[in-house]
Amino acid sequence: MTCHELDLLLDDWVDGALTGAKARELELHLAGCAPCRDRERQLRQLLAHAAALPRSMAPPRDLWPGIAERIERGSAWSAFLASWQPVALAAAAALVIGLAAFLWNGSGPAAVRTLAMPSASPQLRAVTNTGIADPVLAAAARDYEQAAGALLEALQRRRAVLPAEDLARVEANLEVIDRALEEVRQALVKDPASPELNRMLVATHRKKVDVLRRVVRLSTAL
Amino acid sequence: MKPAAVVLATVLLAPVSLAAQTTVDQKRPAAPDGAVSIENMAGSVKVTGWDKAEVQVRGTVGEGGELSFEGSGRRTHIEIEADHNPMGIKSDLEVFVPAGSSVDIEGFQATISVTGVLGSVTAETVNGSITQAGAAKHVELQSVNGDVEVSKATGRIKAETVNGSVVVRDASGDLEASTVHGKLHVIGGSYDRAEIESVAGTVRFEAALTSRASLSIETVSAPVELLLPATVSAEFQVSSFSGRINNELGPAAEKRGKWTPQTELGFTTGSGGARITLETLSGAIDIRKRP
Repeated sequence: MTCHELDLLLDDWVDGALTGAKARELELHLAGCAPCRDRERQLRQLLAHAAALPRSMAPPRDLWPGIAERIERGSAWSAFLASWQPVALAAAAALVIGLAAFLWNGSGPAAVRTLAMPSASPQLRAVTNTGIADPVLAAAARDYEQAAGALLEALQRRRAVLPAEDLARVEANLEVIDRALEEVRQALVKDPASPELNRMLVATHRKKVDVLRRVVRLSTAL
Repeated sequence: MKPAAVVLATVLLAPVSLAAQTTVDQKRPAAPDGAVSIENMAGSVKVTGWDKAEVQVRGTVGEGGELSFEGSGRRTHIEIEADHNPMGIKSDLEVFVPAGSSVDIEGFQATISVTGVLGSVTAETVNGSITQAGAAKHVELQSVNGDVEVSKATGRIKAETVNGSVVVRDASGDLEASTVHGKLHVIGGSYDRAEIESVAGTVRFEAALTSRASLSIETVSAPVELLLPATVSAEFQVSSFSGRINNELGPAAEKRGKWTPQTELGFTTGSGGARITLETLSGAIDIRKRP
């Protein structure tokens, strides 16, 4: 089998759809050909990333226009947000962090565009162990954790205007989500390669950020 | 305080409290398919669609608040304005709008209900329930601490809460529903696409799917109950890391991993067509025939 012939069969091989003599030939070729082994590894990685991504790659959709209108109606910031197209989970998380940084700093729209993280916050500097083997998803989960931290700080800054019982309820629900996150992490320890668990972990992080951003956004109306 | 003193204080304070509220009743002409936005941070908002080309607001505005009611036919804005602490001003508004209107409501500690509006309905609150009834073509309801209920909406539907139940009845189209901690029930109706997520709240889906529909349900620790007609044509992909899977529509689930408790199940009923994905971490999954 030549390298070109192997290329034509590689998708089926990685999908587990290749059997019999062809499969044995391909396996023999891989054993003796480093470039083909690299291509096989890259393809498997690509498929693993794709399988583990959350179902919805779009970031929380209602946050940005509402916040933008609240903070500065009709500003260039709104135009920036309106024109933004979500392309990747990590990018979505990064934008959340940018917003959270803005809220945390209490500074103007220009600060948001820089997506700068507030350097003074130890909570934000902490990089937690996400429990995810896949580096792309691990980075996304870390981004979400940092975003949640920043939004929590923003919420703390609004303690004076928020009713105490509402804050208590929000905190109680965040605890429910944190328990769920812990449960998924524990499962990941047993099966780190499970795409379902990886996706569930990131989706649960996203849910936490979603809850926080909603409360923070509505609290800006007060 | 002694009981008698409590009664006396109540009697003395009640008229003061009532006097501090302002009663409002105002109308403006409005387009039959215009946009109406309402902001009331505390209290309640009840919106009803009617057959008149005007918007009417009536109710009570809490002390320190003032009703702002403005618009130019196609766009009407209603807001309770406050100089300070809007959370302390509880206003109860009843708003009548042309049935073809699109309505956007924002509250914080407010309960919201919308009936008979046929345009789009968007509503958001932090602490309070939101209910919608009627054939609105686009519904988006979000609460944090409160129940959310959608009834008979069509088109694109989004219903979310954090601590509370989500119930969607007899709706159709494209549904996104989620909760963290509360039941999530989809009862009746027919969907082209339904995406349902729950962290710890029980999910029950008992509705029809169109021939090419996609349905996905994902929970972390909550059980999932799926009830479909025995004649459903669909491809199923079902998996749970540690929850039990019970299937009345096809084969039994099999353990996937040698070292983990994960079980999964893939099967097709009829000629396929619809795609159904169910995933949980520890919640049980029940796939049952709909009676």
